[in-house]
Amino acid sequence: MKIRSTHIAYGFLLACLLAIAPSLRAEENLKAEALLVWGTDDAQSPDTKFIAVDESLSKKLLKSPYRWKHFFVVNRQSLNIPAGGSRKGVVLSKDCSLDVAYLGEDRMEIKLIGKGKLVSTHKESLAGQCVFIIGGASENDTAWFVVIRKSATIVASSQSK
Amino acid sequence: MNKNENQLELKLQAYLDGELPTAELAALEELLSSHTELRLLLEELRLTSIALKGNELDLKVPETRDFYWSKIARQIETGSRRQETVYQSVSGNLWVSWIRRHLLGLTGTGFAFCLALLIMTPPKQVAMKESEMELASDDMASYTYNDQQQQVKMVWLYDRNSTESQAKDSSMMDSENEQ
Repeated sequence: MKIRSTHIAYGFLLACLLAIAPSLRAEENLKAEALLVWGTDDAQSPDTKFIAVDESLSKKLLKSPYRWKHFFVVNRQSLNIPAGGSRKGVVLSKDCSLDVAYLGEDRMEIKLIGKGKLVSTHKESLAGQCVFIIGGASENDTAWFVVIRKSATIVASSQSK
Repeated sequence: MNKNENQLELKLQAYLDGELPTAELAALEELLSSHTELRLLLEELRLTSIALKGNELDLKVPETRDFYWSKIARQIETGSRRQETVYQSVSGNLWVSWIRRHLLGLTGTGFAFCLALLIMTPPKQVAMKESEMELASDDMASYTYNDQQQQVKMVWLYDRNSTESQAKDSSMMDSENEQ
């Protein structure tokens, strides 16, 4: 078979597509949200401003080994971070804030800061619909949870309602 | 010039061109050594040959009338055949041949698009990549709970001194889920 100029052109197009495809994916921003959730056995919200978590998240928390019966959203912050970028000082409460960096390919670094001091550093993947939660015990047999989830997960959870 | 002289002259010419048979070569050379006229004739032939070689004219054979017109007819025929091929490929009457001609390229492009889409599409399954965690204080400790089905990963942080007994409580932590 003779090699025509059209074949060379198509070959060039193929090479270009293969070359730009990974970079196109890497350019996507991380669109996620961070939530501070209060876990308690009381059905009544400790504050009228605190609303119950959505069904999808509630299901995940109820199935976890930390079995509180009710979960309320204390605060919610949207995250939109480019690959290689970061957002510092995502305030969730007076004592709790986050430094979030997007490492690319769904991986992120989260620094949990409590009362102005670094508590822990986590590197996690939010691939697919994975939800990452950091939790700890609080007063009066209650608990706090910092939930990080991608926007796609939020959409999926609202559709499942 | 009689017949013998003519034959001798032909032999001299053959000798000059190096085409004389070896059997006759010795006899001719003997004749040349004994006859001055023959030597002069050989010299004259050599000079004539040299003169002709250096002054050959480029002669163009004139085309005959028939050949000239047949050449034009062939050119017209070739031109009309080429025009017909171009017309057929453009007019869409032979889409099949056009597709066949470009099939390789189309296949390549299709393959490229599929591959690019495959690379750009995020994986549907949750890839629980290796995680890293660093606690700022030695007094802190953690449990990690990982549920592939629910697609949730939870890290439980606690103070070693104040909540050690609480962490051991089965109501707080299922031991089988500890990691």
